[in-house]
Amino acid sequence: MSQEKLFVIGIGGTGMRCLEAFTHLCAIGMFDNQEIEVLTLDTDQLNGNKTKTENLIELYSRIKTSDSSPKGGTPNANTFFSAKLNLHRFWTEYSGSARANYRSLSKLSEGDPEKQKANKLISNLFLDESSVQEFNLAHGYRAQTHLGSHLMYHAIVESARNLAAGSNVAAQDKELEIFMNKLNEAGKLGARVFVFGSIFGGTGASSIPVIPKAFQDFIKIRSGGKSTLDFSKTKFGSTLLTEYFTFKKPDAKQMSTKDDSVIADSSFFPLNSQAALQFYQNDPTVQRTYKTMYHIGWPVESKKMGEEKESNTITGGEKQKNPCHITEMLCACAAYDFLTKTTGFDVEKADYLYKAIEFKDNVFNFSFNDFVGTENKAGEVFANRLGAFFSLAHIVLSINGAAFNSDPKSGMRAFITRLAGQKIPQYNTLSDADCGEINEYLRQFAYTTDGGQQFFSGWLYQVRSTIAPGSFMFDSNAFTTNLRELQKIDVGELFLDKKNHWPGGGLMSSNRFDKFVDTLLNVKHEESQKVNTTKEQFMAHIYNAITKSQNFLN
Amino acid sequence: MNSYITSIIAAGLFILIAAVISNAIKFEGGANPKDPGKRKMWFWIFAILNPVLFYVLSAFVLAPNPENNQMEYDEYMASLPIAAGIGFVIYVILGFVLSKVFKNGKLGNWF
Repeated sequence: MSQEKLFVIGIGGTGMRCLEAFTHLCAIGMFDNQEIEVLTLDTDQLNGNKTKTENLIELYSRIKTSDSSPKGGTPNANTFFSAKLNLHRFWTEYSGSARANYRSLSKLSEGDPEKQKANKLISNLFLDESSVQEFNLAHGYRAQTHLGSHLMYHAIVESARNLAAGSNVAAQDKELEIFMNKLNEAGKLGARVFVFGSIFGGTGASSIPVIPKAFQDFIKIRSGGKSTLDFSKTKFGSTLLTEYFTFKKPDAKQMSTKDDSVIADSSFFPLNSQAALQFYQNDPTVQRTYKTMYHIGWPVESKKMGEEKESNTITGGEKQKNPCHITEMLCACAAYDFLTKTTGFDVEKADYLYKAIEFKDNVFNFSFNDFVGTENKAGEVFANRLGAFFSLAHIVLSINGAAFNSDPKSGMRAFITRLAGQKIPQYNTLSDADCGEINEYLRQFAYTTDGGQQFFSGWLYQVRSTIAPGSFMFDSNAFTTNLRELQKIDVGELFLDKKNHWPGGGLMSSNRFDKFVDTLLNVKHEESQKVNTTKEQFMAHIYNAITKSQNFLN
Repeated sequence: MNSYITSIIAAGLFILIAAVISNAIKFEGGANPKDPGKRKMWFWIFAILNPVLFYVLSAFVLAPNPENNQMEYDEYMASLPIAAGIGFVIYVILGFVLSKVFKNGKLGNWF
């Protein structure tokens, strides 16, 4: 694992979903001993995907927080929730008529007539006067990346200027400053920054090319020219995520208003991706500022997002809550590669990486190694930790009932009740609220139900559904959505490889769960896991029991 | 004297059976697992069965023939309630000790 300070940035709706996947990788324990600074960057403060991801990271941090620990807890090793995540949020301010569109934001109608004429001419040269200069920016840049790059750079630099001047400083400027101060400080010794975003849409596609330069200029402005980002020490990596979903095509009626005069049309996403890839291949700024770019795509028909019944195309806002996709998980794994690799940074120009996945009989087949490779047994570590967290989710949600009822005694609390009943009382001090937060995280990770009536997929189930019926690491029975089957699920048989099935108990007790509880009663946390608080020790205890049951080396 | 030895053997046998049954009861998940209660219930069922069965077997199967020696028979029958009581006490003490030795395991549910 890298000794350099780690930073992760999610930009736009797709970037947020990649960040959601990254948070789940942290939850399963893929980033041991790390404190990671996370920045969400969007034009759309109310975006549903953004809110969901930020809420998830805040929930993650609450789970790690205890009365005796600092906010967000401390980094641990070989356990669930091992990384510490610090969330920072920055969003561009496009509310109010003075900032609602390019024309008003750029103050094209201000100044003397000569200046107005010059501004108008140069704006019209690059940006269509009646549509691109007029649409409402509050829902993002709507695939107008030429406008978006310009405005995102402007927003970051404007924030630095406001902070330097001490005027018009908004809450998000202060959050960005905290993030940038940490980046500036860490950059002196060595830092890695990974940027999540699409290259086919609006906000992410607009921002990825300008982010390193914008950050460098932010630090220069804020420090009064005394400090800067050295790209040889602060290493940037990013995804080049091409189109993988479509949505309802906007109709003429919706586009008839000025606010919606431009709406991203997903039928152009392949073309956008193609053009963007040409740009990333040739642009000298991108090549100089990024060390590694991970090209991730979806080579078969894109999945349709959104409800057919929606009358309009959803341009953003609270309603934009797209389901998760395996490409986003692959982006999170690309971040894992970038943030953990020990070589490949001594390059003059950005390295473009990609890999292929088996596609046979019209379905994809994913193994653990496809996600994180095999270096340093990464595939095995990933299998153990994802499998352990998935098993924990099934135990907590189905066997212990947290997906089926809101009884505070269900879910994680049931573990504590069990341990206390077996004379292991050291976790009794954990509150119902502590347990409830872990239950809630696992619901978002795997699934929940409407009081046992209807099944709702969480992140992992949604990801798996994008390649079903192809193989996705685990046995297909592990992803049952049948409520009766879930309540009887054998959590010891989730893996395809039988060597990772939990042992049965022989003649005396033949069921795997019984044997698992027996293991749970006989293991405890270890010093090497660096767990200090009761909650951390509790999670490490469960992690060790599942790891031992799965027959992976701990 | 024989009845006391038999009661000790019976207590050992019954505690063994209770331990086997307790271990065979699987750990359950959920907010209100019933398995600790079941183990405790079986422990006490055998605690009661131990003196009862000991008494019945001793009185009707193992007892000496009174026609051969009435005095021996009377002495034997007089010792049975005491032996059964001792067997019960030994069963409970053994159960308590085992429960404390294996306090984190299934036998730990006995006490």
